[in-house]
Amino acid sequence: MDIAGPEYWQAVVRSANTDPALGAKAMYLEALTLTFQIGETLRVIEFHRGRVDLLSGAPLRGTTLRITGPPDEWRRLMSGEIPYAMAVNVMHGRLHLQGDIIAAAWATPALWELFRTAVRVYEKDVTHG
Amino acid sequence: MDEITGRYTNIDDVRIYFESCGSGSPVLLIHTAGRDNRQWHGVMELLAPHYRVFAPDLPGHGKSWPLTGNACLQDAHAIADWLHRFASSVIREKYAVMGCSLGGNLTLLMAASYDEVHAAIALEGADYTPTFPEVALDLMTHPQISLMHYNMDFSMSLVGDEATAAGRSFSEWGVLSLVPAAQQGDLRAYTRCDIRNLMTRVRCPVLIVRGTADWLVSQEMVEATRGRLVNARVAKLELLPGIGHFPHLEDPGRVAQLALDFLAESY
Repeated sequence: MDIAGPEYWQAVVRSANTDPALGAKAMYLEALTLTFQIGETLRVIEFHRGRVDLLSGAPLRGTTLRITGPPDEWRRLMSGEIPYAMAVNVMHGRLHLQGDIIAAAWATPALWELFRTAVRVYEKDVTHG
Repeated sequence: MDEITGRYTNIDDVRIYFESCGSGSPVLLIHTAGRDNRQWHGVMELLAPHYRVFAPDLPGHGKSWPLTGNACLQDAHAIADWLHRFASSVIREKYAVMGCSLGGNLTLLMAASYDEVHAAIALEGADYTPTFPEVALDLMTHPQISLMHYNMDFSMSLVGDEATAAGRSFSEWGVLSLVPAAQQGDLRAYTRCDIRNLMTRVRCPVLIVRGTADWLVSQEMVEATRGRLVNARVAKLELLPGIGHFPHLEDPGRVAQLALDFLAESY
């Protein structure tokens, strides 16, 4: 499973857009963009009015929030080994947040749902090869 | 069953709410950050046939009035001193202390600081817990932040799979009913808590209890704490498989039994 690869993130976004919990938590987010830096690989997503999209390439004006960290820490998050809060915890995690911290707080419930979806996609892939 | 009753008392000219029940030697109970004494109801009822238990709401929490200026305490030493004044006013004899999370750290600090503490039970307690960045604490009272939404998934990720349905539900309610200033003050006290150099002062028996599903207070943190309790008469560590950061709420039966066994050896 390549957790930095486009196929994985396309599957996550497809699944997330069928999740009513994520839809509700992203309902009033408007064009809120996030960069996930997984090692050297960048994946950019956007929450907008209850939907999430995978963007190709980074927006020219940058993204609202950036989450960076080594691939093995991302894998611990995506596999469900650790929760999002632990991954970004200053004492226990190795992912780091940068950017608009108020927007990050608004996006937090939607991000949790997105990562729950990512774990389901990861588990499904591991189970079914 | 012994009935839990609530009363008010004045500590430092502030009206403070506390609940108590039972008869026997006294036990002081300390709630977790931002919450109130209802967390302890299940444990209180099980301890009551053997002990007289007291559970205050810290200033600005639950039904206790806040301090002057609608303030809450923000420093572990200040909260421990306040609890000592509460115990001196209400309990007025030697007592055991049991607290969870911030309350667990405070339990260790009180054991190090006051001769009146006869035994200490620290649930998810450690002597060094720098787990929140200052910016996250500042955001808790920011006008554009809804703390209950910002905090919900974090808090619930700390609840273990073996938690009772009632415990899980009340943990959720605890987040939904947060007072931001109270949570912020407590977590400032928690994340700035470094009482490692005080652990050698602890003489009384200490029991540290850790739920294995608690990712915030790791096994390494509690073992390091226990390792510094070199002068404690007893320094035990008990693990609760499948339980998270709120053992007294998640499984009051197991916590009460651990407390009864430990206190029976300590008194």
